[in-house]
Amino acid sequence: MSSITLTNTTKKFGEFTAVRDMNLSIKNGEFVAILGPSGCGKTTTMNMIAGIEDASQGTIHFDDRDMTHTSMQKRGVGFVFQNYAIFTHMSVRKNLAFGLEIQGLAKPEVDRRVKEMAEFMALSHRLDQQSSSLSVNEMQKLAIGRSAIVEPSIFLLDEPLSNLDAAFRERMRLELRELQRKLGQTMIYVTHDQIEAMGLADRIAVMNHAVLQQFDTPENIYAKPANVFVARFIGAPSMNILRAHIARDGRKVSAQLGGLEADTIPLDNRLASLALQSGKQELLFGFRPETMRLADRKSAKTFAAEVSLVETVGRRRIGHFQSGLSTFVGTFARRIPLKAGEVVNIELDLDTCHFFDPDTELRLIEPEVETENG
Amino acid sequence: MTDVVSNSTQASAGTVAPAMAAQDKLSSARLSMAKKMLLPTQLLLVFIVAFPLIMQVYISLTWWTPLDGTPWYMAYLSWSWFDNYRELFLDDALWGAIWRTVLFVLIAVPIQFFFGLFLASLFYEGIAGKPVLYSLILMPMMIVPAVAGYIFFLIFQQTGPLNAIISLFYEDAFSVNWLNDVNRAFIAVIVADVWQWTPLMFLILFAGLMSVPEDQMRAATILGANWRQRFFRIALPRIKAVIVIALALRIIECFKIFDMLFVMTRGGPGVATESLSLYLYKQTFQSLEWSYVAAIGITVLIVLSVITGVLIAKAGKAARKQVEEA
Repeated sequence: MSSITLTNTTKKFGEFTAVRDMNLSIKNGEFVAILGPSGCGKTTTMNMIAGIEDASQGTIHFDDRDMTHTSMQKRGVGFVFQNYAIFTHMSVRKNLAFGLEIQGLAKPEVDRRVKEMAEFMALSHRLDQQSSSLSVNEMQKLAIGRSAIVEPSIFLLDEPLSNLDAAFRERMRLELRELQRKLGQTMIYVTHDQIEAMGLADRIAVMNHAVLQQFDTPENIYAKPANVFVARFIGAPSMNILRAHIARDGRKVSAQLGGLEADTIPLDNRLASLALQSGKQELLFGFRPETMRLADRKSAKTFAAEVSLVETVGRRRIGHFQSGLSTFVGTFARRIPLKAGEVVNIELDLDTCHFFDPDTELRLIEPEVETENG
Repeated sequence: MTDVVSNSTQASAGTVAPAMAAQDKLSSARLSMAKKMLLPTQLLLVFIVAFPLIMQVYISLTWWTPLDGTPWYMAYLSWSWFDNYRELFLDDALWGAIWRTVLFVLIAVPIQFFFGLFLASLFYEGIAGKPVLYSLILMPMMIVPAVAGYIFFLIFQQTGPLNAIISLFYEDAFSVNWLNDVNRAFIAVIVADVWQWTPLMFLILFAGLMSVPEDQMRAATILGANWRQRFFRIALPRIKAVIVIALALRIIECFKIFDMLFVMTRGGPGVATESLSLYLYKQTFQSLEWSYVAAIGITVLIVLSVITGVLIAKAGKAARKQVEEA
C-alpha cells in the first residue's frame, strides 16, 4: 500500500511532449482512473509510474520514497497490459507462479498462492493448460491474477477491459472493484471509457493534450467540470455549451442566445453574479441535456426553442433544439411528447448550469463557496 | 477448348445439377490442360534432379573408373553389386575423415551458437554504436570462404601477424607453426570457421529475439525478473524454433566444409584436418576411384537426409507450436 505523488512530471519524446507538468497526488488505497481521449498522455503517465518510461522532468514518489530513477524491475508495481502480455509459451500455472518464483519463494508457498489466486480468478480448471489456449476473457483474468499474486502495493491497469465483449466487461468491472477491496491496493486504471471511469474510480484524473484537466471525484467531475473540455468529455450526450450574450435590464440579468426576447435565458442570482463578476459581455453557457424540462406554458423562467430533430433511444428521447443562434440537445423520458418543427418552452435547472470563460475555457466559480482542486 | 465453352453455356440454361457437372468438367479440363503445359518443365526438372542421382547409384554398384577406358554407361561390364558399400565400411581413412568432420561440427557449431547468442542478446538489450557494430559483425559472413581461408592461412603463418602479436607479450619471440601441428591446425581451422560463421548465427538468433513480444519482456521485468531470468524464461523458450533452424543450417553447412580447409591446410598436416568433403575430393581426383566415391556420396546423402529430416521435422513442430501460441 502506497500513495503516489507526481510532481511537475513531464515526458518528452524528442520535440513531442506527451505529458506536461503533471501534478497528481494519489492517496493510499485509492482507486484512480486516468481518463482521456486517445493520445492525451494517459498511458505515458502510467508508464512513468511503472518505470517503463523515464520522466524527462519532475519527480515520482511512492509514499516518501523517490522512485523517479528506480528501474521498473525494482518498483514493485503490478501492471496489466492492454494486450495482457501473457507468457503464451507457459502453462496457466507457470504464468501465475512467475512472479513468486522470481522472488525465490519456496515451492509449497508458491503452489498454495497459485491455487488461491486461480480460485479467486475462476481459473482452477485451466491451471495445467497451455495459456495460449485461453479465451480472451480468461487471458484477461490471468493477466490480472499474475500481477495481483505478488501483492504489489500499487496496481496499474492499462485499458484492461477494452478487448472484452460487453457482457464480460460488465462483470469484470465488478470483479476489479472486488479485487481492489480485497487487496486494498492503490489502483490506477487507464481508460478512455467514461462509464468505466465513473463507475469504478474513487477519483478521476481527466487528461487532454498532455495536460491534466481535472482530478476529482466522479460526482464533482460531472457536476463541477473544471473547464469546457471536461464538461464536454463527461456525460452522454455531452454538455450543451452555448455562446451567450449577457444582458442587464435593471436587476434582471439574462443570457441571450439570439437577439429576441423569446430566446433569452433568465438567470438566477448565483449565475447573474457569476456573469457580472466576470466583467465579460460574451460567455459560454453550459447545461446538461438531462437537466432540461419542458414547461407547459411560457413564464418568466422559460425560454423558447424550436425542435429540429427527435431521436428515440431505448427509453430515452433525445431532442435537438434551435434557439437564437445556438443548437443544443436535451434528453427526456420517452413519454414526453416531442415533435420536430414545434416550438417549446424550456425551463432549465439553473443550479446545475455553468458559465465558462470564452478565452480560458475555465468554469467561472464563486470564490468563497467552492474550492477546486484541478 | 471450344467444346468446353459450349458445354458450359448449354448447362447454364439447364437445371442446377447439370450446371455443376459442367463446372466439374470445365475445371477438370482446365486441370488436364495445365498438366500438359507444365509437363515439359517437370520432365526437365526430373531429368536434372534424378539423372545424376540415378547415374551415381548405377556407378556405385560397379568397379568402374575412368581409367577403364570405357564410357560410364558401359560400367555394367564391371558390375560388383554392393562391394563398394561393403568396402567403405572397412575404409579407415574414410571413417577418420568422418570422425574429424563430426568433431569439427561438434566443436565449431556450439561455439558459433554461443557466440552468436551472446552477441544477439547484447544487441537485443541495446549497446552503444549498434549500427556500426552491426555491419562490422556481419562482414565476415560476406567474405568468400576460400578468401577467408586465405586470410587465416596468412594469419596463422609462423611469421604471421598472430605470432607477432603474441610476441608482444613475451620476452622471446613467439614462433609457433600453427598449421604444421596436428592439434594446432585443427584449432586454427575451427577459429577460422567460427570467425566466418558466427555472424550468421548472430543474424538468425537476433532476428528471433526481435520477434519476442516487448510487452512480455516488460511484464516479466515488472514482476521483478532480472536480465538473466527474462532471457532464459521468456526470450529463449520463445525462439526455440529459430534456434533449431539456425543449428540445422550450420550443422549441414559445417558438415560439407571444404573450401576453407582446402586453402588453409589441404587437409594436412597428414590428414589432421581432412574433412569428408576433402577426402572425397582426394579420392575423386587423386585415386580416380569414381565408383567408390559415388558409393560414399550416396551413403552420405542418405545419412544427412535422415538427420536433417529429423531436425526439420522438429523445427517445424516447434514453429507450429509457436504459431499456435501467438
